[in-house]
Amino acid sequence: MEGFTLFDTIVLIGYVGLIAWIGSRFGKGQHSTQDYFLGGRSIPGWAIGLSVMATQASAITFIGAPGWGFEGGLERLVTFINVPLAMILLILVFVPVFHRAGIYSIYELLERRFGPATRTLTALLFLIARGLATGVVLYAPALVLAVVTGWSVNLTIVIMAVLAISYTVMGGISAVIWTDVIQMFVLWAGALLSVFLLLSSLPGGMGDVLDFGVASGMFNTFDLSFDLSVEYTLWAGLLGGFFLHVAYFGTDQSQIQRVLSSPSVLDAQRSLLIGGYLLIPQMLLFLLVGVILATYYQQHGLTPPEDLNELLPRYVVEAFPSGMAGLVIAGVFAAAMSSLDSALNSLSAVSIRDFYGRYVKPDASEAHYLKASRVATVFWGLYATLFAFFAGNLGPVIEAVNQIGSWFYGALLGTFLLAIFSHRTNARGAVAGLVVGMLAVWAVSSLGNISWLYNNTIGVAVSVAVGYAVSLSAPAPRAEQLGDVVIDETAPDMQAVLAARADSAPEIGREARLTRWRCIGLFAWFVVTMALLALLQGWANG
Amino acid sequence: MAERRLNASVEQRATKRLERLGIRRIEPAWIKLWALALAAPEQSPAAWLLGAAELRRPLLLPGTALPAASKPSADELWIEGGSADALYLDTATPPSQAELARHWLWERLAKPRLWRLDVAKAAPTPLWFPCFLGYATSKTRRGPHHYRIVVASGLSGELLPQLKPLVLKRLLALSRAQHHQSVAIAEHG
Repeated sequence: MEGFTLFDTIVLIGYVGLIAWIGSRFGKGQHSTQDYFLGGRSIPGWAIGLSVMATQASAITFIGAPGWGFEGGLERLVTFINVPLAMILLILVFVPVFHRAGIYSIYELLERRFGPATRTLTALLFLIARGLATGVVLYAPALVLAVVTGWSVNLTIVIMAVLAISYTVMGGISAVIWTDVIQMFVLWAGALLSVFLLLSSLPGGMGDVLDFGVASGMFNTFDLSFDLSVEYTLWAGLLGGFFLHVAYFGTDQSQIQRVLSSPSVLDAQRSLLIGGYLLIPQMLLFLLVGVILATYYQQHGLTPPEDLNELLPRYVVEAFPSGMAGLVIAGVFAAAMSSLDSALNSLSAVSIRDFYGRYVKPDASEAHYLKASRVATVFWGLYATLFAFFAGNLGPVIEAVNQIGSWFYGALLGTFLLAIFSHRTNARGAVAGLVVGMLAVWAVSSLGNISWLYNNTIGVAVSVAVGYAVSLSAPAPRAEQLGDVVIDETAPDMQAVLAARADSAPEIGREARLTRWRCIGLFAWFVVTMALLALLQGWANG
Repeated sequence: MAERRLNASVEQRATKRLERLGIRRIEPAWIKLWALALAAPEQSPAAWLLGAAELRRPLLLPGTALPAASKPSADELWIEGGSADALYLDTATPPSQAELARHWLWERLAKPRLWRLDVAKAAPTPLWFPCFLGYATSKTRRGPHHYRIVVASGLSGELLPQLKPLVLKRLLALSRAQHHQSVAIAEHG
């Protein structure tokens, strides 16, 4: 039990400093134009995908998931089991539409389709929801800092907020893709080393974990109960979790920003594809760490910390060799800072583009908008800080982020689905669907007793049904309002032109549809993971 | 000035990408866009914004050199095994410098890495941008042969769906113009 040594502190400062230096050296110059359209890039797709994963969830996964595993074993994996299916919908539908539309924020699509009121309302919902979720993301590294230093969490929240706001205002760390990849591997290595050290400290090794897990039902992933009040049933995971993740990855500007900025549709799809394959194994690894920690605590007769988010950081600091603890904690820091940077930046960008630049100062100078965006960054940093003070009371941090999203995102997703799939839905219907969808979620979650995972499903179902029904009371949208969602090439005269051109163009090869194969691969992966988890559960229950 | 002709590796990359998307036929095309230099103060351009009045979000072309602006001849862009008849898609209206500058502001606010680069205080330069148009057919509810088009960059081989509405509009306009021309020729002998 070494604690966080001086050497660890040096490693932490050195690592964070190195990431910042690499970011400022390579992230702001001519090299980064290669990230944009048309560039001949040399960075492989898998690195881009890992980079997206690193900024998405790695820090809060590291902190939150072991708490989940400690408390409930693998039961909460059902929340993520649907991710491959969610990615299929995003790859097939959302990414092509967003890319073709040429938009900076996805809420612009809703303005073109339904008018300014829908854009304003949805952008406002994003600001509220993402601002709150950023509070949780801020809480995560602050908690690590508190565990490491022994200071109060509230003090470390303020320190982290000042750090995060300062560097975002100054232009951000702009972590380049390879530093994100390094962070990802540092965190995975940290989890694997935890597994190794924990197993080494148990007399029976993995056998002890299996015995403990079987005896306490920790390997039961699938609860087949149809009781809607049971939080983590297979049905809640498949139905509720599916809409949760489509909404999270598809309608949250801070997540979809990378997709909108991808050099091509294929790159955008690839980044989602990697998330579709790796999110479940990553979550399984960290949940397993939680199960092993539970075995360790039980065997050693230890009392777990009151806040289960502290479990893994505390273990890392106490058990890892000097220097290695510093490296892993630094990885958590850097990943959290990267997430905070992109969240604060997207909040600021939407504030300026969707509100300030439209309603307050439409024709201001570039310098003015830059100044305003910095003020907006500080504002959202303060907003997140205030919420971070309460984040510890919301349970494990991943769940907190998802629960906040579930209040808003179902109705938001319903509005996007109407925009893309229903050519009859108009502005009146979209606004009505959005408002009633959110009210339905609020009513069901406060008055009823059902799993929070269904919130998104309710939001989607109500907003789509109400949105479509109310639309029938007003004229159908004009053809130009459907320009982004109706593909021009389907018109008969366009088809004739394309047929003539295609007939005279040279033939290049046999049919092979990449997108289709990517989606089939994701579906196969979903089936395989379901089967493996069912086998594990079957074995654990004799 | 960069060489106007596509190099073999770009052509292969684009063809491979289009093939993987189910494209059966492919033809080269040049589309007229307008370019505005992006540079740090007192430095040569680091990249170019490529826009058109009909294009909702400009493309960004990294690199200091701009592909040739004059209209290329038909034999400068070709696909192996195919004819060399390139297609020229003219866009009538150039975007203003102010429009492109505002686009660049939103681009940087969304992804604020390139704050040092600013747009040139000059009128946008016309540019013929090389691309590949890929055609696929599929059976759908709409009929036995539904045609689909995919646009790929002739400089990098990347797919450019944001150019698709512009290309479709220009293809339709070109087809109508050719139709009117042939009708006029038939009427006047």
